[in-house]
Amino acid sequence: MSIRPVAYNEVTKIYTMLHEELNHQYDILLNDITFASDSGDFFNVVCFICDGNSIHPASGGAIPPDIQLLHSRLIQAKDCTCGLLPAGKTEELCLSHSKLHCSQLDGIERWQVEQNAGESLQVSVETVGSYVVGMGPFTTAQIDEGYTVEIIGARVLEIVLRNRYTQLDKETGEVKVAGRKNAT
Amino acid sequence: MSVDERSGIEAYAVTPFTNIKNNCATVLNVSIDAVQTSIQVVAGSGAIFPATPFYCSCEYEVMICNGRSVDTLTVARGQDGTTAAAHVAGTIIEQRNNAALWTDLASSINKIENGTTPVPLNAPVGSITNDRLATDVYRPNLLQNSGFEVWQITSSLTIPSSGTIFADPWQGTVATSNTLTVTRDAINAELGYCCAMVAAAGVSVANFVAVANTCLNTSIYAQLKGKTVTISARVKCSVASCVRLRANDSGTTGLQFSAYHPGDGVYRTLSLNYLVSANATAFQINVEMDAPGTAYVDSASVVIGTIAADWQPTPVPDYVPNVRLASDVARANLLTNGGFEIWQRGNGPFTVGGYSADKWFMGIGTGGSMSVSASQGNADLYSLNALSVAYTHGSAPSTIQQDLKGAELYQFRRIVAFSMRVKANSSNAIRIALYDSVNLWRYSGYHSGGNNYETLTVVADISGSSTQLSVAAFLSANCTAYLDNAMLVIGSVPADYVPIHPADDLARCLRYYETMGDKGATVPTIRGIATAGGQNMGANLVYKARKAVTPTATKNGTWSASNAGQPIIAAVDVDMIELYATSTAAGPFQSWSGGAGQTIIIEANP
Repeated sequence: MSIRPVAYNEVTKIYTMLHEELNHQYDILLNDITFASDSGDFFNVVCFICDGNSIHPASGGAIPPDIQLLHSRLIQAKDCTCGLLPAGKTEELCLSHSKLHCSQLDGIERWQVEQNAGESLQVSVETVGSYVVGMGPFTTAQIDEGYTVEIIGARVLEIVLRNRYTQLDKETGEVKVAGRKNAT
Repeated sequence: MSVDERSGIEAYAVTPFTNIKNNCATVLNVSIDAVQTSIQVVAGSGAIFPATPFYCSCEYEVMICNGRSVDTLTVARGQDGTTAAAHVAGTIIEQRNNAALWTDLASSINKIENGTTPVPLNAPVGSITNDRLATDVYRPNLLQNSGFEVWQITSSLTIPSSGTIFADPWQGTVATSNTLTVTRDAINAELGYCCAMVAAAGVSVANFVAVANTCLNTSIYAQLKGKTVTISARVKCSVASCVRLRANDSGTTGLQFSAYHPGDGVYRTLSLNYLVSANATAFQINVEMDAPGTAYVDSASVVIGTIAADWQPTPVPDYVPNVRLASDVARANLLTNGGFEIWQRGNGPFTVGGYSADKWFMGIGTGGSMSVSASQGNADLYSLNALSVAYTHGSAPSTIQQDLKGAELYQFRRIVAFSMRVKANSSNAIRIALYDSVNLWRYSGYHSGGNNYETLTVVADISGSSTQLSVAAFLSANCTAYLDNAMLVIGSVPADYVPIHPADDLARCLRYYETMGDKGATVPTIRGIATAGGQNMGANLVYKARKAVTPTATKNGTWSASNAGQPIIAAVDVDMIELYATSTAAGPFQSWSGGAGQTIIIEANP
């Protein structure tokens, strides 16, 4: 019983929301959905009718995969508050970024968006800065300008899942824990 | 000593005694020297001797004859401690009571006495056949609960209609206008703790009552086709021509009876031999009551062969594998809210796809619609609530399903059995199914549509690489249906529903969904004292149960507030949320859940 998406218009970028508890249904612009934390892990959906609100985790909470998909669209529309990914990136890179948040919250098996599902031992990495910004899989190596796809091992994966900010040395394949990065 | 390969029985040695005959004497027809082995006796007298071999004596010499052709004997000379010598024609040659006859006999007796030769006591060479067995030779009893020791259904029952089971798997059959009362009786039992006391009223030969053991009715009888079995039971009765055994294979042999109990009030063995027909289609063993009276029945037996077997207690196996479990053996249910008893989201009706009875999800197919509610009036036996669904079919099936995904699935990727009690008013409208992401859906048969509860079952081996396991009621035609008592168990044998304690039932549901507030008390409350407006006071609200995954937290309604704004959810994890309120001005401030609908709902679905 949450405030959850029931439809999305790709053209208008309008979500139809249902507040299940009170059967309130209303439309909201994707851009009017706000992050609920500066970690980028949560976003806030407010019922226009009663001011009720749901805090949804990027990992899905009450309604995976709909919430996971909403999260990826949100970070395509606006900078992710974690600072790792600016707005306007490709759908594929945004999905990979949402999957990173999802996996860090609830494990890699929690991701339920069917598209691009599969191999998890891949990460998307900034070409400059080397920050790990997303988790694979990907169908192409070049997922967006300024990012590459790198294959990692299970030990590196473990570090990426446990730490919010990591940098991958593409030459050695090693990863190091880094400080917070602000999106540019 | 050799051994018969088929029977395993030793073939005993036979001492080669020589043959003897009375008045057996003649004379030599031709003289012989001390070494000749061919002897002529008087013409026509050779036939007086017995069949070879036999001893014969001539003067002081004993010979053994190993062959005879008319009047010519072929002999070995100088036997039994004597010396070969010449004998003239006309000398008597005869059978005497020579020493070897006695020493051979004495030697054989001594071999028996000292054990050199085993004594075959009444055993022939070859197999011991079934018809030579004594009744105390143990043989497997084909009946279940043959001693009437197990009474799981009821300990006493008066049967007004046929087919009611009273002592598994014994059941009563009655005809019109008579009754049969069957009671567990520990006083009149002959062996073990119990027997069955069978009382019949209003009966006659043409209008009998019977107590049937149905365990041979199913697949077992097929293994008995062409075999003769012996059916027996120990029966006590004080009425003559009242009780007898009855058997029927619905085939060529058909209906057969034992003799009646004589009615002398003591336990007697009633038995009959029965050839199970090659065209048998069933096989039922009965204790038949043909006159009003009371009989006590104990120690029933069906064994292969023509000889009855004394009743023996059932051997206790050292282990019972899953495949041999009956459905009434209680096992752990892997489902959450399998009994549809918990409705934390309310009793419905739910018409939009989503969760209804806690973890049960409504998956509405294209073009279809459904209305789901809690139903007490149509719950299954022993149940408080069922899930009621009024369904209109569209172009694709709909489901009411429960999913296991991710880490929760790991332990269940093996053979599982899913069962559910279903009542529906339309045939071919609803069935149940098991899903895994590798093998997809696998289904039970459909509900008959008879508007009664039926148990639907489906068994499937869940792939080790599956990422999802789902159980579902699958709706594929318009109907009103009721779902109750769902069970998912490890193993290939479905299990009858086993309720769990309401606290445990709720705890499972709380792993995925819980509500804070709305219980009439003023909690949760955020309270503090501010020195100015815009100051925050927060609290961590710990869930009743850790959630399966990071949940969605929803604040519902406009909460009561004093010198404060609405409470805000600041952070969420699997154990708790942080809630805070902001002061409007300096002084005490608080915000609290103070009425209906002012709640926080925590929801973590797979």
